[in-house]
Amino acid sequence: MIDNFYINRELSWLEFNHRVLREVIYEKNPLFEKLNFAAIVCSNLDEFFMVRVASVQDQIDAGLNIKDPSGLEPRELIDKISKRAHRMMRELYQIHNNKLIQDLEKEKIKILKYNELNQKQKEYLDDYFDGEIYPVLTPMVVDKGRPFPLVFNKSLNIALLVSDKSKSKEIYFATVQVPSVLNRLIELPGIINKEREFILLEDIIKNKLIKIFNGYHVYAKSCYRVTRNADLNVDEEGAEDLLIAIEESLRQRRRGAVIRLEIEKNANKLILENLMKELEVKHHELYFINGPIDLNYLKKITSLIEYRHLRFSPIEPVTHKAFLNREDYFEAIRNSDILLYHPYHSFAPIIELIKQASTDPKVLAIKQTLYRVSDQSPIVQALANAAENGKQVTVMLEIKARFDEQNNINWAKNLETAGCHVIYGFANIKTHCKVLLIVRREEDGIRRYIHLGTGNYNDVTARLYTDISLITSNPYYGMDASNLFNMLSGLSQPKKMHRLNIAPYELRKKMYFLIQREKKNKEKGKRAVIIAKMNSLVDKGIIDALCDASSAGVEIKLIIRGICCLRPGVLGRSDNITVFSIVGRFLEHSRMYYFYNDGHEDIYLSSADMMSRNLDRRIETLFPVDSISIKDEIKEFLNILLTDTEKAKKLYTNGSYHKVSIKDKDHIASQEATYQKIVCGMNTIEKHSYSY
Amino acid sequence: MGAIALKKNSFDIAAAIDVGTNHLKMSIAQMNADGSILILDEVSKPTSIGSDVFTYGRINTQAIKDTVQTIKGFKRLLIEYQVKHYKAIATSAFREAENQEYVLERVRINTDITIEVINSAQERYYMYKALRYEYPNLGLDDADESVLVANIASGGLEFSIYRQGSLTMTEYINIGALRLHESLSDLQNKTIEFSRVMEEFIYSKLSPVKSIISKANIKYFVGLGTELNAIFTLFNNKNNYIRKADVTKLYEKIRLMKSEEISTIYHLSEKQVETLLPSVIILNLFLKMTHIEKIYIPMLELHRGMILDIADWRFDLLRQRNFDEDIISSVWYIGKKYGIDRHHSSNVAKLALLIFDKTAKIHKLNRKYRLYLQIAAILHPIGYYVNFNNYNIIASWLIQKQNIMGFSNKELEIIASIVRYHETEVPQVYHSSYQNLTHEEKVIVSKLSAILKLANSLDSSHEGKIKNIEIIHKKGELYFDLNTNYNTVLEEWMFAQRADFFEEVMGLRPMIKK
Repeated sequence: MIDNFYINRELSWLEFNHRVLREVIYEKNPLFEKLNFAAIVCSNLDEFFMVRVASVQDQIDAGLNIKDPSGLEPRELIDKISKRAHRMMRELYQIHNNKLIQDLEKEKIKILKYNELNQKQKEYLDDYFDGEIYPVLTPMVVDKGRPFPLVFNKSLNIALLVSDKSKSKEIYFATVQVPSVLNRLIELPGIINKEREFILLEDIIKNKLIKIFNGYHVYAKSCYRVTRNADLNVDEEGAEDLLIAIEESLRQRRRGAVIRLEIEKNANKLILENLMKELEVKHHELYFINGPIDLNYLKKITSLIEYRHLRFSPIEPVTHKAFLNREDYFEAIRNSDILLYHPYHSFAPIIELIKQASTDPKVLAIKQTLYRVSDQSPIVQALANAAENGKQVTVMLEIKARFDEQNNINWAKNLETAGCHVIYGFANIKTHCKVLLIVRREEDGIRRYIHLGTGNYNDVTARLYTDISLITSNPYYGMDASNLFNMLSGLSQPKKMHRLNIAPYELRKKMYFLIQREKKNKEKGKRAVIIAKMNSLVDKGIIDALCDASSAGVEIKLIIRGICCLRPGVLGRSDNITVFSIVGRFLEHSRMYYFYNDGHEDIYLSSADMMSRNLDRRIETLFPVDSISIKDEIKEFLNILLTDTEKAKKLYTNGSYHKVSIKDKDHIASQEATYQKIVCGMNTIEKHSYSY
Repeated sequence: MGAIALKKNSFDIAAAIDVGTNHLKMSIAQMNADGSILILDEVSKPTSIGSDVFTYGRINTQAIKDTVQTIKGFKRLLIEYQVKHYKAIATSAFREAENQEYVLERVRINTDITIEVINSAQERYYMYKALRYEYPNLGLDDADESVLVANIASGGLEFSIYRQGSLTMTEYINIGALRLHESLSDLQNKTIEFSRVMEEFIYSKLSPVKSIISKANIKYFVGLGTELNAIFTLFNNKNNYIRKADVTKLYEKIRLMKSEEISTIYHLSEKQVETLLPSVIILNLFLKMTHIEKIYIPMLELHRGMILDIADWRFDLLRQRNFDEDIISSVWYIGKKYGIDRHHSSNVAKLALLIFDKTAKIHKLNRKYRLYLQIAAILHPIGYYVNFNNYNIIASWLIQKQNIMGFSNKELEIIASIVRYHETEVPQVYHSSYQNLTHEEKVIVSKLSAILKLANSLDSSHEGKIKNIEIIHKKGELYFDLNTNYNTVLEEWMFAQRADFFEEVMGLRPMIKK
């Protein structure tokens, strides 16, 4: 069964998405949250196809048949991906059709088909169609003079077969896009007994085709959606080492090529054949959908107001006690290092800190990396204010953040207008580290305040992602942070750091060193433990180092939310490694690395996952935690994660994930437990009882 | 800029910009009133100034552009830290660039930063400042043994010997690592024994030094400068020294290697590899001259010394006075080379400083000029070495060719002029060296040479007759009350001869009190 030491990353990713899918059926999740998870499964897959699958397809097209570490050739891989993705889609729609829709009906939310409407509703839709929909439709007929139109990536369309009433019986292919500017979910009038009824936009259009194709006979109609190869330049996550071999011209041609065609089940055969031919869709790229294509519409339902009982009960982020009842945040940080764990801890103090800095006469400079900011970001506003107040503000803005470029460019312009020094990082290296540096001229000298984290400076995602960050005024961190910004702004070549380890320069080496030190300790007969939490483990070098440590007897526990290419439990290689994944209400996003180090218990936090791109082609930070009490906090957090019985899934040697069996006693949901711990105050931490 | 009102602080922020041969560097530091410094920010960017100059004699367009760009960036940091005290200097490569003037001008126009091109003696001054700061007791412990300090820079080699806590000698030789590479690179393709040829070449250049070093009974060897720092990092050493044996081993290993090999094995850039071999050869030869087994590398950098210098003057620290003693020691070493009457020089220096200190309210010159006077007094007789006639002119010429730690070429010209006018001659507009001075510098020369004239006259007999002087200011006249047990007829007669010029310059007639 085990033919290789590594698990393929695409297949591992699909397993991750499947764990998201399991949240759709997880009984304890409220209905709207299930809908949300279902929509996420779909949008995840979209991105996966656009980026990952596309790059595998590129390899095939370039004639590359190099095996990946798991021993698969691109052709074999694309086959496996297709099979797994098909299975997942079938499962998802089964849940959608048999469970979600029915549960919604129980809550008196109905999605009606056109033929289920009453006369009044039909009349309402007649007006709605004429007034709102019709003006934005662009029907297109394909004939000798009119070539097959460009079908946009991720757009929903209706294909039809028509014939001109006045002319011969020749049948034409036609297509019309379901306008993305309109709401996909349209509420029907007449709420009776609090019952709300909706219809999908494409369903309306489908039943009004006569109005659009005036003078034609409509023979058949089917909804379809295409997913295209996204611009490779946008994302270097692909199999880029291999892609170097691919000719630029070939890339140009493939760019934008269709990588997936979703079409409604029972679609007309002629329509299907025509689409496959014109869009150059291969058989394995075809997905028959039994239900509405693109479940992102479910998000619209979850945004309906009220229905509080169908959502997670909100958790109120806790303000860290260091900032409670304190006006001067700088004083708080001077007193001691502070650890924030979002979304359990409130993100507001970070915004407040920047706001204070923007008006504080002692502040000389503020420097910050920004990767993905929210719309109306209060941080961007505060930085602009700071610049207007005469502070030297440097913003390292990563405009290459995937699918977010336009948003980022707008912010960059605003910041520059305000007088900030905006830098855009390196051409080929994304700046992924999250660093905030505030330089202050105080009575006794220059003091620097540093915030280093695992998550973006984004107040919205800070409520949804678990991210961990350290705030300190330790001068060594300050010096390092200054160095880092000098390097990012091109002012200086990379320098030797005191405390920070920076990718792509030192981080990988440091990681190897830390892993190997455990191995050496084990070989000396000492206790050796590694606990690491990250989003993905893909890098072969790191995997091999971990396996090497495992075979020496180092106990290794990995908490990896997403892709894990390390195959655990292989005798003599990875049998001391256990891998857990936690997919829950909050997106696990923090990266923590614990090394027993002969009892010194070194803990590092990092912006980096253990993926080659993070280690070699991105600016990332890995930084140690010095404070004993903060180390205790992190150990406690890791312990809670490791004892999760609710959401934790264990990775088995065959690559599948299964729920950790509840042997005895406590039932622990780690995210809730962590929140409880933080609400009750970390001082309630009892003597640690680690399971390792 | 926001208006920032801060209390009188016990600290200040200083910056040092070093336009070096291979790197442009800037260091920003907090200087505290107690003399300690704390580096806040250090930036460096590689530059091709060195290879441009040592190959073509001038800085190429691209390097000029990059330099302006980098210094613009440095300027941003200066603004950020609100730096008020900073120094920007350029060293060996820049010194020799034919087009240095307009490169400096381009930088000044674009960044408002004026870069001073310093000579090797000034470079050494900063380096030794850093050294003194890190090792305040250098060479203090042993009476008979000495400390050898060598600085292998890109453009030249300099070395000094410390004994009993003071500097006893210092020399500069024009063989730097990058210079060697650039000037010998032609040979590289002509012989497979390139390293051997280079070694011979360097050996020939070092031969005058050999006897000095072997006589000095060296106990410690301290290495400074970027090249030695670079070699040091190759050893991945936990200690702060390199063993002689390791240097020899390294030399044997790399002398036959191709530069690509060296670069892959030691993770060095092409530029670093170019200077590695010559540096290792110089170091190896140097070590062979001594009997010591290891060389200490304190990893000091020029800009560190510059920051210390800013702090010393900013807070008028005692450290500066101690450092001046090192400079004076090295001046005595120069005097010794020219066979001066040590006794006489020291009498004249003592008297000159007495007069300087006791007429402070009249001449109103600061401590820096006191040092000029002291050096001029010590070195005034070096012209005798060449010729008894016109020895003052010869001395002034020799002084301009000296390498006195911390002194710019301009400053040496001033000291040379003071020496020129220390006897009968007085400044004349047709003296070209005097002509070249600015108005302020002319005034300084005149005041200090007026003092030196009197001091020299008071030791006319070279017998050190006068122990002390009291000076009394009375109705437009200065009465010199001489404390002596000797007959001073000659001195008094000479004093009267020199009094006119003093009166002309200072507006007061000096008289001997009877």
